Amino acid sequence: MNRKTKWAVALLALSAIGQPMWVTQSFAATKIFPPITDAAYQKECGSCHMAYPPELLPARSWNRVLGSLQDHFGDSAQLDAATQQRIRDYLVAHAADNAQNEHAFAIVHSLRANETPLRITATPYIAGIHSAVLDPLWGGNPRPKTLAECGVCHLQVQNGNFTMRKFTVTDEAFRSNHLD
Amino acid sequence: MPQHRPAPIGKHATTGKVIEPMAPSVNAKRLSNRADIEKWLLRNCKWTLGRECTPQEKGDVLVMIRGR
Repeated sequence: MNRKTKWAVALLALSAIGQPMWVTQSFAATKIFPPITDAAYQKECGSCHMAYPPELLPARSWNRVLGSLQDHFGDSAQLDAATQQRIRDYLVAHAADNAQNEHAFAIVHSLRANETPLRITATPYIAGIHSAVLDPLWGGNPRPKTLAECGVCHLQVQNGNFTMRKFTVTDEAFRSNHLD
Repeated sequence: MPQHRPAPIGKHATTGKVIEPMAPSVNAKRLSNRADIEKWLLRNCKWTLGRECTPQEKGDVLVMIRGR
């Protein structure tokens, strides 16, 4: 085997085994997430806020949320141990890093390995998408008090559908006189 | 003393999520599940008082809500 052939063989071998896993997986480029299938999650978490699609946070975040329910953003969301474990299992199984969804993939990869946000809107990908609405100077409509209720803008979110959105951007929002 | 009647529909203070009426006279599903009652009394007592409620206190709250 001459030198050139050796290189060719080596390259071929590399391209076969060096293929990153995610290239071979198919990811759905959809903002429509599967419906919530766990009744306990829907009931327990959905009574104070929308039961968010588990695909919107990585498993380590869900574990952190479920581990701190005594102080859940200032409220007690304490659950009995069995229900808590069941909901944790469901969320982790469908978490962003276990989902075949491009947006879930983008959420995971917008985070550093040592970052474990509790809020969906604290992930850089989601925060970036919503930067206009998160801007305190946002003059559009609606002007949500918080981003906790996705349905204020995403009108079909009860079906896991984030494609429909309702907001208006006025010319004024783009006039930067407040930045002078 | 003003009459604190339960509003027909409430709102979560932080998230703004719509909360169905609390009073069983308006919403038959309320106070119908023992586990749910215990869960919310535990959470809300801890949040409000920093401790669990006594049986007397829990009873008082239930009587109040039932009377609405």
